[in-house]
Amino acid sequence: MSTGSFRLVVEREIREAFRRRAIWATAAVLMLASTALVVLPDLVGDDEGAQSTVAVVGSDSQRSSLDSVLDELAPTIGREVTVTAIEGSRPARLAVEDGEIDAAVVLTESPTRVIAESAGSDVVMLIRQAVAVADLESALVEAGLSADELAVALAAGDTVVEEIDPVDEGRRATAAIASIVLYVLLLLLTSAVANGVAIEKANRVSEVLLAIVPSRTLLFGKVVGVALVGVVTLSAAALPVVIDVVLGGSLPDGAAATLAGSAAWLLLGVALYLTTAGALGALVDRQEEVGSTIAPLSAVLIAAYFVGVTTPESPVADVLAYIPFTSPMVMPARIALDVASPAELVISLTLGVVTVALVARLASVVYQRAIVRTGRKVRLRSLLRSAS
Amino acid sequence: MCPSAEVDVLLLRDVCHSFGERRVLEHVDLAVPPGRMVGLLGPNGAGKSTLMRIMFGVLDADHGDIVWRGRPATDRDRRSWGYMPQERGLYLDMRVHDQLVWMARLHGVDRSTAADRAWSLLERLDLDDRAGDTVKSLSGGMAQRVQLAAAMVHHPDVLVLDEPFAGLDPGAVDFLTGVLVDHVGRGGHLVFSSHQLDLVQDLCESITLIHEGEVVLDGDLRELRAESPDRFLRVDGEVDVAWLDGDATVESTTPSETRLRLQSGVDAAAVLDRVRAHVPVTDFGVESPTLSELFRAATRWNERDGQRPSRMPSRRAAPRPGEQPS
Repeated sequence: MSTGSFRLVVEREIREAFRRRAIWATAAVLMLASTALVVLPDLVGDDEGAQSTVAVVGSDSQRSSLDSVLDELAPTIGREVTVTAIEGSRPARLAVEDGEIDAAVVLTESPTRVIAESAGSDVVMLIRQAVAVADLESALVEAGLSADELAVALAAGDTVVEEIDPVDEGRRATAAIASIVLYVLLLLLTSAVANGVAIEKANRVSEVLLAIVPSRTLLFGKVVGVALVGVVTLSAAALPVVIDVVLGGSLPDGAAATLAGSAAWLLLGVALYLTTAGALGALVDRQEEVGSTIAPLSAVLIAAYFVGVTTPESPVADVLAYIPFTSPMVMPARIALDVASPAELVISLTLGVVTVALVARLASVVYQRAIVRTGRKVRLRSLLRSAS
Repeated sequence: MCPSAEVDVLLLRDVCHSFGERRVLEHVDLAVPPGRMVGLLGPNGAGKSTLMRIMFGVLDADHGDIVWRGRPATDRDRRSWGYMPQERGLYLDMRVHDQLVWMARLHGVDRSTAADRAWSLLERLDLDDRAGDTVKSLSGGMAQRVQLAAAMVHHPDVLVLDEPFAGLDPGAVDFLTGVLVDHVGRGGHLVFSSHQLDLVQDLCESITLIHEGEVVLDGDLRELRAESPDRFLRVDGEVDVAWLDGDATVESTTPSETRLRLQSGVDAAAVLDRVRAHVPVTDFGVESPTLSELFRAATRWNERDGQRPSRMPSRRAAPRPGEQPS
């Protein structure tokens, strides 16, 4: 394969793709969606959801003991509470009404009064807990316990939590995003390659080109060109995430491994599916036949995606993780959820690479024979029989 | 013309090809000397396009050689030739100038030279104002010119054109003729196929006629016509075949003239006298067969008298009965 003509074929694919408005629109939508995913949690989640301000009506010592208890309790449910002082229950009430503070605690009344928009909120729960602990502390101090004895008494109540399902939402979200991105990308690119080849055959451009360049240059030039267009478009989605990380943002747990795994299996999937799609595209006589010709390939892709996104830990997924045509849909989710063993990763990837080599060879033969047979759809069986 | 190993001649030697069980080319030879127009003729399905595709490696022949500059042609050699297939092929969404530059670069021309050549070809083809348009926005005739430009943009020594005149208006035919005459005038190699036999007769010095995958006639066109034992009497009036006593048959009739095929050994003057006995004749001539007549004789010989034309190679297999050339 001449590298010069191969490069020219790849270049043409990329240049012509980026001359179309559709590709820019896709990139823009991807980038907007990704930016929204990065920016919105910072705006909505962190600043307003997890931060609360509580005003206390009471003496300095009462306030500081409540403050220290709240400081200990709040992080256990992922919150941060700022405690301020306020004079009198009336101004405290007004401040809650105006939304300046999330809740007020009137320690000067008995029983202690808590003013908040709703009684069932996390903040109210925290305050009630904190007030109970603070009351207990002062009762214990009054009963004559020293500071050390107090610390021992309170520490005795410490608990250890055993999580039954250790997968957090961050990992699940990462797995779902990896699956959907790989699926959509492979589906689009597979169709793009098959259609591109079919158009060249139907237009008879392939005939002109085959007189100049070898058939495998045409096939693999298209595969690589379309893949690069896909990856470049996808990088529009990755850009906001990368910028966020560079600026000091953090990725959810397991996201780095998932990204690396997704990249490896994406490469594998792209090589397998696009090469196969190129060979299948060469079988058709008219472009309208492309859909039905690549249907089996799309069916495998959709089925694998379904398993990957719904039950990536199931026994079915255990098997699909080793099959080269399904592993790209299942593996990223399994890596995200941390269910893939190192042996599984190595075996799956090795099988994949070997299959890519075999499929590339077979696709090259099918393409070479089918691309020059015009007039009606070429049957794969008769094509391969004429090979022998 | 017998293929020879002359260094400058592009040669196809003993090419055979089958599609499955069907043999489409049987021991075909073709010689394309420089500076000479070679016509590749034959009815539809004769194997002309297959032969051209084999020349360019689009199909691999089952047997035979393609010899260029005295040695087997390589992929690199073929990359320097120009090919215009019968079924035109261009990227419809690509801009005209971009497409030509890209094609030239595939042929190994560097980018700036390719851009210059594309511009000058488009000017010559009167398409320079459409250089930035996509191919699909062009008319059929314009797209045809772009196709020709794509075959020539790298200045090939060898130009192989499959039905280049098909679908062209008379102006475009004249233009294309000029381009081809130019090409052979500069010592280039040219072979083209065509069904427009009058045009081929005017343009080509050599022809190779393929029928059912075999060469049934080839050589210098003037010699072929002169050497043919067939003679024709042309008279400017209508002739009734009954006047001729079997010495001649009516080959063709137009309102202004009749063309009679003389049986071998018959005296043309005697036939003329018989016609003159019925109608006045003011213009007449004894002529060699036209290319169309040679073509018909070579592709339909079995229907007339079962005799092979004189130039028909003896190895030709018997045709199937009742077969019509299309």
